[in-house]
Amino acid sequence: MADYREHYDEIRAAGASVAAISVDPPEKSEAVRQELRLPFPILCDTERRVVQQWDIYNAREKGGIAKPAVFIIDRDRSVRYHSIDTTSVRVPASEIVSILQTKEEAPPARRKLYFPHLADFIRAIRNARRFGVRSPRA
Amino acid sequence: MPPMQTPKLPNTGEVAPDFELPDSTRALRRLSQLVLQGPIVLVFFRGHW
Repeated sequence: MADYREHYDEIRAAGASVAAISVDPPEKSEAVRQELRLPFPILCDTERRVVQQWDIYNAREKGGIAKPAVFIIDRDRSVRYHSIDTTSVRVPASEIVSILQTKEEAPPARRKLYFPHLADFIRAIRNARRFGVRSPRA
Repeated sequence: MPPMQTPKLPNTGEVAPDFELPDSTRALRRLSQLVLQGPIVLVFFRGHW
């Protein structure tokens, strides 16, 4: 979880957010959240409804817990990515960040197209004021 | 307890089943609401150790 805390800003910068889920009740989850200083919510699947429905339930440990798993869920609730791990090691947050960055860069592309032109324009004016107007070949 | 659906891992490209769960402050959070702001990274973990 600390790994996801460390990469939280990058995930936010990529336009996404984070929510953790465990089967712990709210009091325990809040203690974990404060202890680990998590900047995102912890959802409490105390009845183990979601972990069972999503088939990421490990019934053999601690009275039934969630398997370490990470999903990227898009705006239309479609699954863009998932990683289900059987050990306590999960997919590194840095990998999630790169997935978010590659796919989310498509929409702002148009905006990116305009700003470099604006920057060129400003630079051209600044140069013109400093050095006078010259032809590009000069 | 609501009736239990057949366990099924939501695969890539499929629509994840919606759910509503309380967060650690007991505020109810619904998946379909969370994704309105943008993609969400759901991190399932073992919980308290």
